[in-house]
Amino acid sequence: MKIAILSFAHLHATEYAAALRRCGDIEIAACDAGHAERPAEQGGKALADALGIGYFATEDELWAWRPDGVVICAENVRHHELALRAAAEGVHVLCEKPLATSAADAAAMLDAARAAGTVLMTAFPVRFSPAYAELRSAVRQGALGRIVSISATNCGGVPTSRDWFTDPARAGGGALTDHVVHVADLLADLLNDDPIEVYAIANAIPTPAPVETAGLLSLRYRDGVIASIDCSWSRPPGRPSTGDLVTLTVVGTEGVAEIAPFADVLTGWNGHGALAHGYGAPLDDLLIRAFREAVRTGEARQPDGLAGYRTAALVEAAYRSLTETAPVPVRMSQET
Amino acid sequence: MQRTVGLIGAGGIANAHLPALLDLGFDVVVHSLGDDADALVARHKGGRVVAGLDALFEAADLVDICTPTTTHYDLASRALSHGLPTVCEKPLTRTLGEAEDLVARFAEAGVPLFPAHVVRYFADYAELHRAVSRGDVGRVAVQRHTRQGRSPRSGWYLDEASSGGVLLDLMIHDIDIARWIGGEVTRVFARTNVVDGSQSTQAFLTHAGGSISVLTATWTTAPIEFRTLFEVAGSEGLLHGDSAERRPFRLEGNITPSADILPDFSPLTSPYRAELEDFFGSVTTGVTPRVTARDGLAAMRIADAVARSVAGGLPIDLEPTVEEVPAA
Repeated sequence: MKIAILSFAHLHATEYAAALRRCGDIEIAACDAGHAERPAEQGGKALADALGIGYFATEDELWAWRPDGVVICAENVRHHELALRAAAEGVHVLCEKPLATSAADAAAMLDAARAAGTVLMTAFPVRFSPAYAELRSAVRQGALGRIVSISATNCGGVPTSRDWFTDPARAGGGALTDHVVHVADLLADLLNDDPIEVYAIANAIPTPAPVETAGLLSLRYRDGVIASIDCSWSRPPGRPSTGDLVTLTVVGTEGVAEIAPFADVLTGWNGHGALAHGYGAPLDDLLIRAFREAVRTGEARQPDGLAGYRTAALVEAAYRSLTETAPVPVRMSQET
Repeated sequence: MQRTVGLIGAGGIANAHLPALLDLGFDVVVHSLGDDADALVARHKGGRVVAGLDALFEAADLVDICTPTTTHYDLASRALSHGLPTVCEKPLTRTLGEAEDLVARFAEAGVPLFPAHVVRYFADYAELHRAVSRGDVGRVAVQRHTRQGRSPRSGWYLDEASSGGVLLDLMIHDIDIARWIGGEVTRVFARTNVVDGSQSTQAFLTHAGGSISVLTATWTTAPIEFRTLFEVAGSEGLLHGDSAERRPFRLEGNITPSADILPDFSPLTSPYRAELEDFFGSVTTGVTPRVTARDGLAAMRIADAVARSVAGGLPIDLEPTVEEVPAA
């Protein structure tokens, strides 16, 4: 099996490359043609060499290599164009989140993959978290009774390893674009439903930037369940991991459940300062293995393109709410 | 000279106030609208039960109202008619109109009125405010405050009309704290979901300086431990508190949890003692206490906006009032 990595713009590319290598049976190559425009950042052939994978100078050469699947790690706004090309080439896709920067782009990506009969998956590795699996099972078994409310957080630092994250022209937005989708995907899967209305507030106080760096969302579901999402880039630089990158608190009539999928952190200190070493489940490996199975069988695994679409539609509605300073309906043009 | 406090009420919160008042050296007279005053006095080995409100106001130099929310307005008005400085349990009143009226009349008469927003005197929240004021997190950007516990199983709390539900009983605390930390609130949006005896309210605040807050208050019928959490993130740093995380004492095993809703009294750590000392001390010294009547009124204005947003499904803009004091 041949899998290509399209761009090192998103540094998750290095994690996926390592996970693909650990599969042991995959030929891997990458193209990072865009690196020429960001020479100060890690990337290009040097990074491919360091990762121990093949390299193509141009994307056309990469397509000519006839990969079975591609992992798209380009800047957010390029996901759409690259996924359409992959569908045209008959190549399966695992796309870094967010799937797209608009609901229309995400829908077009889904349509193209359907028409081509190719797989489109969205990189939501948290879906593979054992903590989330336990939560899902507890909810499905009724251990929490009826759900009353959910509080979700996905708070990190302002991305600094890559300039494009805070450039609206390439990222499509800031913290809302970057951090709503992981937990929105968990909510959609957990409740097996989409919110009907969203209200959003945001600011750029943590780090003044051309995009929002702090944001809060309020969601309402048709059965009355309410949810909040804190998607802020609110972690100051240099903060050691405390395992709270993603959290979900689900309040029910019979119980309250909380997950922190990255809470497996060994903490301590030495003469150089605080120590924090994660030892959680290898979520990237689980995601890559699901994609490998999807490529092998030609059948999409979860989290699929539709999961990416649902979250992109929610983010789009959240931005509309920011503009209108009012709650707005969340509309899905795709059958969910 | 020993001063006399007239304590009205003998329920949950009176059990926290009476030992604090006794420890502070006050003479205490107690009257309850129920029949529990004798038991309260016996339990805390101090204070005298008086037959009625008239006798209480006659004996008292200061008044402490620890009764169900709907009675606050009338009782405080009566204390005012006797010219007595008055502590009133939170929420100040059941409705915003009553709170506005009460605060205005106390101010006019020059009689101090203290809303008992005791969370400002809890050590973790006091430390949070000190740290933020010192600049530990830089400019405040995002606050999260959560307060959750088991639904009340009996009494007037269960009656939304009497207690104001999870909003006025629980969230009012975090409304006050979020405003204390983040400054005046200019816009409010909120949602509530009630499922049988369980309810959550999530409120989204926009502060005058542009910072944003989400407050979550929950009562659930599930038998959970009471818990408070906060996170305050700013331009330079982040502070985090969780009552379930940093526990100097932990016990698991074959134990029957105590039915008390309040911990045992300690003069060194009781936030109720610190609060009452601050309030009644200010009557003598004239020093402005940590929480003022204006703060209690501001919390009521925000709570009222939360209720209106929940009812109407839309954000509510709050106009700044001239008498508003800037937050610390």
